[in-house]
Amino acid sequence: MAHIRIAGLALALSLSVAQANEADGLWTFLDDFSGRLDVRAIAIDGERSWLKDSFGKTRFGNGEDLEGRFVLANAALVWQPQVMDWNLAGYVHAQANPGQYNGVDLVEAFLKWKPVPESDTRFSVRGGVFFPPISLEHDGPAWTPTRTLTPSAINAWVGEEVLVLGVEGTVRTLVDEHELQLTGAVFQNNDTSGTLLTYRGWAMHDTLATMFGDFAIPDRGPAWSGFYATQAPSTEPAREVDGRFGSYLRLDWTPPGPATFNVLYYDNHGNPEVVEEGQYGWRTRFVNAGVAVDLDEDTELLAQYMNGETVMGHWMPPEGWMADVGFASAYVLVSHQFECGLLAGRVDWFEVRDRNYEWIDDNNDDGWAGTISWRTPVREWATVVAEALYIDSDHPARVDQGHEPSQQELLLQLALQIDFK
Amino acid sequence: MRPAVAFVMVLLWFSTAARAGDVNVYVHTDDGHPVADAVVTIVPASEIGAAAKFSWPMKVVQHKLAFDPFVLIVPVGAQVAFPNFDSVSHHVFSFSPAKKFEIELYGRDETRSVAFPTSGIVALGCNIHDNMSAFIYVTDHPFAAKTDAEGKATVTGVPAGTATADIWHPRSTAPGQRVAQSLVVSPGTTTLTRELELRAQRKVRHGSY
Repeated sequence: MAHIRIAGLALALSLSVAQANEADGLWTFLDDFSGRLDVRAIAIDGERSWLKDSFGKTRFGNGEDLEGRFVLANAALVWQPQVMDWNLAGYVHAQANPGQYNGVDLVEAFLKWKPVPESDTRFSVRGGVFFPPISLEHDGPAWTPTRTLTPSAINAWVGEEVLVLGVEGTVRTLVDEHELQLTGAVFQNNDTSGTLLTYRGWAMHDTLATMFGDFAIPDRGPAWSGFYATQAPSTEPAREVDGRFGSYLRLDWTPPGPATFNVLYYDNHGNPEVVEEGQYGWRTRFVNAGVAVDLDEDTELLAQYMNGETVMGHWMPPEGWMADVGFASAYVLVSHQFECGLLAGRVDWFEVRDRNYEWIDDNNDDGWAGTISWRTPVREWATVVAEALYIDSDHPARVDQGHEPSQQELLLQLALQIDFK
Repeated sequence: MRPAVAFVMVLLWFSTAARAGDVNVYVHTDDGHPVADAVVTIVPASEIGAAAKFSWPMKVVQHKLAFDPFVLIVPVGAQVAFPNFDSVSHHVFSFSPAKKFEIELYGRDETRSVAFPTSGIVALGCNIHDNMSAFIYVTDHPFAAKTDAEGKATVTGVPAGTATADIWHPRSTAPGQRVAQSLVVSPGTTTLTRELELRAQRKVRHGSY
């Protein structure tokens, strides 16, 4: 945590100094801010949310049959100062919502250096706290998906457990009309990545990890608590415990035509035997492959597939690591732009395979989900989104809380998103 | 000179060089879709010596995170204005041999101007917004126009006689992104239809990274 605070402060300080040098008035300064307010009317039928110590896969469930209410989904503020001459751009994202641990917290904060290209080969470097480039869905302000309200299971997990403090370099070039891009990074502060995926399973929501926040781990009863006596009841997603560096590498290939492909390999090089204040190092590795295709001028297809594994704790014969799971998920999302709005439909599939000690903690998780979303701008600064999300999953650990392993959840949301810049 | 010969020469003169016509060029893809933003240049076979001068505004606006127009034809030596109507700053640049330049960050309702002293094609980009792109077509030929949304370009006042129609488009698959075709310009209206093979449009998807 100390690392991240220092990094955050250093970044804020350097940006302020640079800004003070360049700003020619309050208005110029204010122009660098933008924001998003997202309020929703929701109706939900399903189990209690994972944000409330349970296994519900959405943000909002209270465990009642059918309930409806108004919620503040998020209030985000983004500061994007730019420093002339140096080709530097800053990005700081702060947000507030009732689902996060701290009332107001920071999400991403990085400084990017992008020299003006002198040929078809261009490069950039960024350093700070950021989400690795995995999601194809999050191209909206303040790391929001732009086709649906709820991101896929894959990118919901990236948003909650894959926030890194690192340095990332990108080189992009054109070879015979094929655009190639290579991105690589070294990072820290992502040692606990995999905790939620193991103890809770996959989830589908738009809650983000924050620099100083944590997420509760579902309550699993005395047997589990005895086995994992040193595990804290909550997980801090942006936590460094072992001092090791993780890394990822991504390749993008865009041939002439309507499709673009990417593949990323991530390894946090976590030391599973290190535990600090109840936060374990998790050795988490995964491959993510993505494709985006313009099916026609108004229709787009996005798809991602992720496959990985994570281990934590001590090596305990006969079965091995205290926790050892494989995880995989995929989605296909098709969206069509009509004159009056965007219609998007997505199907998700996900699974977690527990590899040992299932008799103490069964971490298996299986399921699929369907999402339909309609998004229409009502003003230049306001958008209305209506979404239905259905999740059908089987998760044996629900028995620990006295629930059926198989659950169906239905979440209806009507959002008003207000953007200011 | 005998009067008859002089008369024939005068007749010839009137019927060709002295008389000008309009050329309508229609550009479409092989499946019949109109091609917008193709630059059509009519080059008369004989030297005409006129300087290039165009009636449209010499400016490229930045609005809603895009350059407008996508293709601008300018005469050699033109000063082009780059007004920014967005609330965010832009950092316009080009690394094209015809004009390498950069306009450092500038914000809302500000403008900058750049001179283009050499003929050629200048590809524009914004270093902050990767998916902004546009082209400035710098030419010393006076008879040039670009196709509209219907794929039609009208070049007016072209001297009658033989000429070459040169058609350029940023996504043309032809060498140098241009094709040429000879035509005879008549004093009235001459119509030319040309098929152009285009590369598929590449959508920039770098998101917020």
